Amino acid sequence: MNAFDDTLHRALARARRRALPVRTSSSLSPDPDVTIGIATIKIVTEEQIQAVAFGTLDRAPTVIVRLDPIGRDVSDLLPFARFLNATVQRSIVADAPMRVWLPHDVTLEALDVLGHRYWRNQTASAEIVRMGELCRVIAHEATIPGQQLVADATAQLQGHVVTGMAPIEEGHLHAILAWFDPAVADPLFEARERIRLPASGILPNTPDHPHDDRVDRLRKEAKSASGAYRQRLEAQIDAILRNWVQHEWDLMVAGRRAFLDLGLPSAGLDGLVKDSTKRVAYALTNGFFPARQPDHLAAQLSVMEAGQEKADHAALESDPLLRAQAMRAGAVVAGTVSAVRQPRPKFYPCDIDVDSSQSVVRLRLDDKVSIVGTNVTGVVRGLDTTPTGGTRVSLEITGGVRTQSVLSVGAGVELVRSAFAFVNLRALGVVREQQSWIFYGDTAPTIAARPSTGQSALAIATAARRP
Amino acid sequence: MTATRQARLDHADRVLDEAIERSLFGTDPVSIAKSPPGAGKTFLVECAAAVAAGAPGMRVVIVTPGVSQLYDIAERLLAYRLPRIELAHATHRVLPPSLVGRIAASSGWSTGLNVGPGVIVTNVHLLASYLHQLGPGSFDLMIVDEAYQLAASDFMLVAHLASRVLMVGDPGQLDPVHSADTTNLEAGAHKIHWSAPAYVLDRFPATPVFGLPVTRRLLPDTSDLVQASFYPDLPFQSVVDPAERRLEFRLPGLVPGIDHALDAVAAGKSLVVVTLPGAPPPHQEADLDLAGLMAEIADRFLVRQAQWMGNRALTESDIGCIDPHVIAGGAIGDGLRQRGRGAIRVDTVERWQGLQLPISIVRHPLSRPSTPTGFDLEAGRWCVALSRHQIGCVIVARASVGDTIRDYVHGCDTVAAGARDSTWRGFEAHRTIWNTLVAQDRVFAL
Repeated sequence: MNAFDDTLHRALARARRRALPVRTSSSLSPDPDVTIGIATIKIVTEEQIQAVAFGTLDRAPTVIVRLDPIGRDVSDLLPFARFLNATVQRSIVADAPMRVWLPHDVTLEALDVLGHRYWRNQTASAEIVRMGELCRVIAHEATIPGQQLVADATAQLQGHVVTGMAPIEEGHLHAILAWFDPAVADPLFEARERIRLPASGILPNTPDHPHDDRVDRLRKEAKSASGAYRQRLEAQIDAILRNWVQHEWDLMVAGRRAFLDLGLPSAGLDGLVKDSTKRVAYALTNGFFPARQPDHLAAQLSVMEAGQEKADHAALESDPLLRAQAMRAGAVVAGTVSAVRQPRPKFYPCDIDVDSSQSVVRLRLDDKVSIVGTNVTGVVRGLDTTPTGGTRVSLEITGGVRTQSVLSVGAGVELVRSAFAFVNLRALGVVREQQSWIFYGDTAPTIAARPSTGQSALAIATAARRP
Repeated sequence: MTATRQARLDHADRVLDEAIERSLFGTDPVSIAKSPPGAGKTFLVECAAAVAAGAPGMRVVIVTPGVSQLYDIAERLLAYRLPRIELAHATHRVLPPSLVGRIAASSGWSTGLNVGPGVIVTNVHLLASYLHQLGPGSFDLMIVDEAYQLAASDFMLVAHLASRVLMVGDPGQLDPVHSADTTNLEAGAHKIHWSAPAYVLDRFPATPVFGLPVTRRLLPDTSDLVQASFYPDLPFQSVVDPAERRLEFRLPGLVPGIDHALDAVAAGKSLVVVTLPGAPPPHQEADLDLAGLMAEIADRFLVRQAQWMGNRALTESDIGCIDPHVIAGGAIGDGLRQRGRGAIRVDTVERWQGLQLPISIVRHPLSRPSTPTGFDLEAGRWCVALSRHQIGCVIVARASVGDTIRDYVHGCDTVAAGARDSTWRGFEAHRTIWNTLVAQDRVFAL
């Protein structure tokens, strides 16, 4: 969405006092059977999790409160480790996709750090190491555009609605939710009240809610205390952390509910679901191996780019609102079929002309395109200006030649460039075999010199030029 | 021609000779030729191919990042008598009319190709799709054209196919385009998202590098500014004789501001700015007034019957409009059509890369509402925009651009610690260029 549309929508949302959808389709597939949620509270300065809430989304979460989050003993995380592993096993056994809901990206960062800390920790138990590995799998998958494993409630709402707040205020999930609640009379006021307390996986530390300082003090006191007094101190820490991690969990659940209540169809995401499920299943079964070798890094980059292309393409294919925006930038061409050259109906060869009023088109000769909403594909063979200043796109039809509904003069069509989205794993396999020194060597080799012609290259080239 | 200019040309010829000699016959498996805009890098590629396919009898492959570049280089090579000249492109592509019947073209790779000494031109993705038919030593020499536009991850697929590699490209232009966020890759030991030459130099700094020392396109004033702003590691100078690039108008100027700027171009200032008062409208996709001004400037060149002295009268095909954004470019196109100048090409910077023309009219990328983004500040994009013209470039902007540059505050968290910050580099270039143009009285306010 461009800046103008964005501002207009925000003004409208503010006037209507509710969030407005900016998409008519979802970028997230429906939750699979194996769907869980995770919310965390971390120590800001240490990047250590001090409370975690987890479970399925249809019941109250299990909460772990860590009285000594920076200590070496991590056995208190075992219930979380066991839950995560059991969830993964369910997904593997069922050969089905999995989904992890999080309130926001700070939780993802916390899981990533947790993963880094324990996935190769030789002093940790096998269960904790596995937990670290699973956290790394989750965090890595989240970096791939179009992935369907991780659902960040804040990001999902940001991607599908606008509110009457400034974009930067929409980083706060609780504030966003004010725009979904019909009971809130003035969502702008309410949102700004809510922003006073963080919704970013940390304890508040404001003058009226000094919980972070308080927990810090209680921990220090508890260290030198004993007996019943120590237990009371620990109970206070527990109560504060439990309350705030539950708050994070509740926000996540409410964010998910708000997103689902938008009722956006999730058509066209099958390819992304399949790709994401395959990647995650492989990592869950075989372990996490970060890309270090150049061919692995190249594969990772290709996967990311293919994911981006597929996600963009799926969004355009299934969302008329996005297509309307893309038309203004020439990425989608809407027009009318003005000519069909098909000697035998329903058979190849078949060429068509599409006349569009758009003067700005981003299609180029030999681009592969598809007609939105159909199985018709083609290749751009001509681009000409129409007498009225529009564009005539000539296509060689390469697929769906029997779809006469759009391969007829007068039919309205929308053209969108096909996604290249190709990861050349076969070529990368060859690269791995060949181990070119440029990518795998530590020093550049010296090769045998060839006998020089002894002449100036310029002179040779000049002599070779045709008269 | 002055002795100084001749000396520069002789030096450039020696560099070209040395680059080809060493890459074809030396003991280094990879050589890199860095070229500023208009230095003749395609000519270097032609010469290297002609030499290699001649007496040494090499099997040469010229690899390009994209398909349009391969058609261009193939057409250029047809001017040479080569033992073999072939082209291979993807199966769904159709040969441009200018090449039909003139070159042995293959849809995909076939076994009859690359037999004996000669040259085959193809793009990297095509070659990567047929690795099962190729192997180490398939070619004696690989010339990577426009190498700075080719990502190392793509070059990796074909790197093993030739024992010698010559990379030729412009390090100041746009980096390889990645649709995905590559921030995480920046921390890796292998910067496979960088351009192929940058990757090679990162890993093997001793790789021979030949810097072409001249530009044959840019006039000295543009050349000096472009070199200082975008090519800190590649010294070059203009060898263009200003007397051969003079513009004159048959009709005197009438429109204040615009015609003053055009007269400045005719007086030898090859880089000038025309500003509209105020700031861009905050809630529009395109600054319609600015787009209209660009169309009017283009029109004024033709209405006043601009002549390339000693050469020809300028026509619509001699003028191009460059806008970083497609939608804003569309508004310029509309303005041109309304003036009956529909044949003047308007395109994005990416599309102008590799091309040249006498007059360019460029929208300043910072002439937009709100804080500049990384896209607006990208050094390569600004470099390409300012280096297409042979005679004159008119930058068009809102007067607020000066304030935008003055007030810009760069975030310290835009890249990972230790990573290259191309956005900051771009801002520095913007600041240098704007301040220089102001100091040299090249800004014409309307």
